[in-house]
Amino acid sequence: MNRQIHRSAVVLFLALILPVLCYGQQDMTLSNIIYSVNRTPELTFETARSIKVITSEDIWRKNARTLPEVLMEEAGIFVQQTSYGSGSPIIRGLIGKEILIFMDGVKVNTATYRYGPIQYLNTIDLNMVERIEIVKGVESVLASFALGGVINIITKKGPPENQEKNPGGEVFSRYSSADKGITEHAELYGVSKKYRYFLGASYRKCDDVKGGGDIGTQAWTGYDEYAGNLNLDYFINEEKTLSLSYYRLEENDVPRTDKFGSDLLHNYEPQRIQLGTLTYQDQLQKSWMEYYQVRLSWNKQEEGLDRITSDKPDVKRFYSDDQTALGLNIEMVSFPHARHRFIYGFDMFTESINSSREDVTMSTGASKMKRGTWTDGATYKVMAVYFQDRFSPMTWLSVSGGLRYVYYQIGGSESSSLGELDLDGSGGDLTGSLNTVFHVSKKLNFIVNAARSFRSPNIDDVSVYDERSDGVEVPNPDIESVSMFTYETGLKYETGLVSGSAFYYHNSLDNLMERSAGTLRGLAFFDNNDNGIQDEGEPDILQRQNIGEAMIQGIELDVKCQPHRCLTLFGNYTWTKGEDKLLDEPLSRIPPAFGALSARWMKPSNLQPWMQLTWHFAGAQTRVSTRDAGDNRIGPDGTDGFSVITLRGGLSIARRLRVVLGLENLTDEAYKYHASGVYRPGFQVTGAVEIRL
Amino acid sequence: MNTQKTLLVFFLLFIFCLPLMAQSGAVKVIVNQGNSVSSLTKKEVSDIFMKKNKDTWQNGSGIIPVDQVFKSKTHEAFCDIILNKSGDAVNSYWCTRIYSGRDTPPVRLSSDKEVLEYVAGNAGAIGYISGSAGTEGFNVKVIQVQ
Repeated sequence: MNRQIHRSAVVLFLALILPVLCYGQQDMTLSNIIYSVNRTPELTFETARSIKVITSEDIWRKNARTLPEVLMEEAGIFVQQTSYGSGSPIIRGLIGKEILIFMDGVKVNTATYRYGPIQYLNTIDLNMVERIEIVKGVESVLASFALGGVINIITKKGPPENQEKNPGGEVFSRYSSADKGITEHAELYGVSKKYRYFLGASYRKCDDVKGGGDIGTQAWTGYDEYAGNLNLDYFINEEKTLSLSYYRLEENDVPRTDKFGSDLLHNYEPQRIQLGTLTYQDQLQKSWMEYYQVRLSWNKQEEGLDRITSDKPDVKRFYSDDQTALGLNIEMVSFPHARHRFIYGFDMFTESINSSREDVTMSTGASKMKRGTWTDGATYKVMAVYFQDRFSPMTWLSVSGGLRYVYYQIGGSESSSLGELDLDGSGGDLTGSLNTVFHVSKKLNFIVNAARSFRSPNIDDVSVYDERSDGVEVPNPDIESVSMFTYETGLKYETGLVSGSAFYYHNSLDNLMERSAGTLRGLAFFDNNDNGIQDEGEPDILQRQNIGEAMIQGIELDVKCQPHRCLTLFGNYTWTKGEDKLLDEPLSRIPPAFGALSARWMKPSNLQPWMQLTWHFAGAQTRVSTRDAGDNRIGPDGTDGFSVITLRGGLSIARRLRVVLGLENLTDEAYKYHASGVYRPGFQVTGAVEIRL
Repeated sequence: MNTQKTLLVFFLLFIFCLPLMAQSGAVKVIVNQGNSVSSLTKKEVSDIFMKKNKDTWQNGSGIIPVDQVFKSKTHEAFCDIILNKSGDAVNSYWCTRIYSGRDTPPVRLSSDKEVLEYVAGNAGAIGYISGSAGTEGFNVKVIQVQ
């Protein structure tokens, strides 16, 4: 079955690629520009990286519920879901803190991002998003610690591109039947010669979601959230802009679905994020300084967790964690010579962490303060300087090479049930990349890249305390950075009728941080009664240690073809293989081969009717690691493959009203993404309407 | 550590290798035959093509700049001679303007012939063609750029 699916996918893919000989040229429009590769806007075809740009039109047509769901069906991105209120993208075999999330170029990741899958991409409201830019693989020079890739979410700043009314506004409403989910959103915007503004607010709610086949309604999946954002641009003159933005989202009672059965309660309450930025940009247009930008950022994230475990049903634990990060970025672009473009700058982040836990015995009301998930009062600082040159020594060759030096400093100490703990430590390391683009023709680029990067330990790596089913994880302040060397080669083509890319990559990871057997006060178990003997109920000690060595390789194919002015065919295919070299077994949470093929018919008329049929598929993943086998989201047999067909369509009336309707998962397939704790919705009807005021 | 050293050597090699100079040939700036303008300064042409505070002719009608495609020899020469910038710098400028929602670039056509036809058909248009291209048979005139 899997082999048939993959063979069909490859044949269809080749059929789409063959018309590559038809030529055209990439227009300079917003949909063909990417910021996130070199932190300066440039044409997607010119970049040396494997990328994906998801535009506002793509987002509208998908009519997804959340931001992680928009990434499903895209090349090279596999979205793991522990809960219905989460979504952790796996890019190039890496997940969680190895993937760097940006919002308008400002880092969303904090120093407490956990080991494995995390839910934080879902804390960004999809209705605030203008476009999503994804750079797959190491972003070594212009960002720190992105080993798997970068997801940069660009928020709405003003009127949409084709909006004539100014000032104007929109109201949006969405419904989905499987989770009885509703989304309500309203926005106001305007632009003039001196300013541009955007103000938006959203409310989203869903009940427990019904899976396909025999899965039925899944407990612990419903939750609600609200969000708002504000953006102000003041155009000081033709070259200078001052921008202020603020974003906030709060989710309530978001259950961790995979804990249903083992815990009696496991709800994130609240899950809150606030992000503010103040940016000054100047397009000087001098040869020594084409452009510069100064950006201040403030990122505050709060997470509460209410938990009751099955073994202590009378004790309710209240975890409370928050992180506040302040950031500064100064960045410059120069063209000192006709063939050179320099990008250079300075980054600084300083983060402080508060972490606590209170256990309340419900029958008596007695409460007891305990050590939180991380060392309370811990700090984390990162400073980096970087320089990159993109130059063309010959007309047929473009090269970009860069270096980034990162210095990090961890601070904090505690005296708790874990003993005396001193986190103080620091380190620095160099990342570098060399990207080469051979312009075979004006339509075809051949790419060879090499990069070396690393990720330093964060607060979670050095100070986490976690009571798990397989033991108690205790801090290891001595843990060191993980490093990765990667090379990739690829092709990009861009014509009037066909565009696409094909990439092969190979990653070698050293010093991987693995959770394994450890010690606390010289003992391999948690000695509750201090008798020096492991009594019944005293769990083993686990610690994160630099013992891993791994290899990940894969292929990413992405193609789009327009054989007729009304018909667009597009598809993608991704294959990944990961090996844990130390244990000589598959690497954990490696996605199976997956992809999607779509055909979209769209008539250029006043109503702009369109219809799109999408086949989304993934093979079974039976190559599981020892850790995967013990994970209730995977198990020893791995995860079944899936084949899902969705039909979506819509139309627009006088540019004032847009409607989209979807028949999702037409065959009511019971499926979930590998390593997920929740099944995707079964057959459902989705619909959305947008009215421009 | 060896990996870092190798990367550093590669990087320095590429930084200091001397790139080829851009090919620069003459270009002619053209306007519609009905336009009364006969000469412009480089700064005025630059402001028009970079859409900087220069959007009307002396008679009050709108200026419509028309560009040539990125990386064509004529475009590179125009950027070099008139705008005093590299084609990459101009491209980067427009990418930034589009991305920040400030402005969109002029229409880009793919040959001298297309530019001649466009300028001939639009009273307010201004474009450029290669120095070797003729204007005979088109309702356009070449203007002096000082």
